[in-house]
Amino acid sequence: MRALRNLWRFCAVLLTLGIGLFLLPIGFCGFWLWRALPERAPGARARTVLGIVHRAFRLMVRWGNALGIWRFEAHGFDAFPPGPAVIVANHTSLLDTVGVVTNVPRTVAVVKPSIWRRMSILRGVFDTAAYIGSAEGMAGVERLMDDAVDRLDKGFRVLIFPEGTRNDGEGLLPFGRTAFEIACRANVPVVPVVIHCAPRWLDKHRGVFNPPPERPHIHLAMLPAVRPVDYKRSSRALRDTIYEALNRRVNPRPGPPPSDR
Amino acid sequence: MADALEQRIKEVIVDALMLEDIEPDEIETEAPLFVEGLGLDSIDALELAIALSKEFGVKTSAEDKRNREIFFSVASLANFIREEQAAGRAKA
Repeated sequence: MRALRNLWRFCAVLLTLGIGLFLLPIGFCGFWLWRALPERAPGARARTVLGIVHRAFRLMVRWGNALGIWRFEAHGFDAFPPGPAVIVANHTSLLDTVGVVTNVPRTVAVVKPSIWRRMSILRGVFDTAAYIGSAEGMAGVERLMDDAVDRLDKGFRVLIFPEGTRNDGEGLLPFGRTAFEIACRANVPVVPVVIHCAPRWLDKHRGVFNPPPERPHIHLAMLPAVRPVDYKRSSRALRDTIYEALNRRVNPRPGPPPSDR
Repeated sequence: MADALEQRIKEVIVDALMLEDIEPDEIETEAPLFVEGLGLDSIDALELAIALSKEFGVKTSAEDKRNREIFFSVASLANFIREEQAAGRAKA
């Protein structure tokens, strides 16, 4: 019975990818035709693309839930603050972004240079959706912060994984300070999200064609928003507070302290 | 033993970055400032660059490929400031 369920899940993944690959060229043609049209107002195109991504991810989550590929569950997002915010979450798998964007409209993601390069076919979509490219070094951090503050000023939400990479261990990796500094500079709340994915899938070890034997359960829980003004707009204090809040929920055992990475 | 310039750089680091739990004298002149040393991060580097510009008149660009080398330690920062002063590009 279990083997049958695994076979079904594998076939469902193949079917989903097949449908995606079939629809991709059609969507692409439509996208480029639409992009050639003049923009109604500044930022209107980004809002439209983000709206489409939000609905597409929601459809994908429901599709996967119905077919038994995964089971997504989300709690607390009804209390998401209106207006711009920085969303920070622990990073377990590639499904994390899908989970957050499904529950929070107008969310702009920060895309690592390696993903930007690997998925160069989607560069036009990323650009139009006002996604932010990250880069290393002082110049890269400065540009990332300027871009993120610009998106927040335009009313978008910015999603950042402060661990910097997918974490395949038990606890949290040390948090970088960039997300919290952005929130302080833009004076917008930080919304922490705890993500559990069990068993792990689409992490650094288990690829899309290798789904786990059990159906992955991806659980997202939104914690209360934290305002920078309550921490004297200190990105260090904000980071340490949110690290503690997430660490308590991600890992029952105490994890390493946040570092000044 | 830190010279006057190195001592002043240490004071600027503590003041500008609001490091509450460290005194200037506790910063080792040759030790790395980032990650494994004092534990500063890239945002600290940006803030430190602004503070050093105000204090010594030295200009560093975020795009400068030598940043990693310049900001490595108090000693490397002092060397950079001395070079800029000698070239007349910084306050003496």
